[in-house]
Amino acid sequence: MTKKSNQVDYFKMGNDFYIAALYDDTVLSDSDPLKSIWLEIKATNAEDMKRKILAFGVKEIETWDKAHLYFQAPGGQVFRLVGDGEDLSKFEG
Amino acid sequence: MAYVIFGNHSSVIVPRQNRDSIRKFYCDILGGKITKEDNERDFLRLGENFYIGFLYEDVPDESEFLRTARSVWLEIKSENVEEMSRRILESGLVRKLNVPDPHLYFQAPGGQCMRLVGINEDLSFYEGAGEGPDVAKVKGALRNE
Repeated sequence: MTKKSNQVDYFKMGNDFYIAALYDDTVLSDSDPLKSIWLEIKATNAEDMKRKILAFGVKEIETWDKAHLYFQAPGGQVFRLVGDGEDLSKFEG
Repeated sequence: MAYVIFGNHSSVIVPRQNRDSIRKFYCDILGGKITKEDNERDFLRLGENFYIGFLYEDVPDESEFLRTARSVWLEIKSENVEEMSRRILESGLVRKLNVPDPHLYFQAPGGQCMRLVGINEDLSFYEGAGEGPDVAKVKGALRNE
């Protein structure tokens, strides 16, 4: 976390990717975040990271792709977890 | 300790009727390339290595929800921000968003909201340096969208 306040936190992921999380009191339905773009995160040890993520208690999302973990992080964003160095050309056409 | 970085593949389900405008915008205006297409989806590459899978379905238009910033907004970079801003706005394919910030914010076909910045621009303002954006003003502006 590079900066925090009551209204916004800035998170740095890896070397150069930033997310600003703006906090608000409004509530989303469980399905609302599923409508937005899904992002991908890479781990050097995907199996270990998968265990940690699931142990944390995220909501797992069922998809056609059984090889990867899809989950909804706190705040609602949906991610796919892949391995760093994995061949991901099937997602590139 | 295990850690993660962001990957370069993303996907989103969009209304089937947006397909033409999505292709025009992401390819003709932003310079993306479709690497594969079939009846249900387009694989689109932006820049050297960022991929978006557009999955077309008979789903409702969620643009209003996506404008609320309750879903993630993305940032795109251009070597020539002025020229790209003009191209984006003159395309007639986007909705300009009135965010109190010097950059162009807009909603692309399919609903994704984006900020356009310069490739070599100092963006530490968005990384926690200094005061950063005025969150109350930003939220106020979003409520009026």
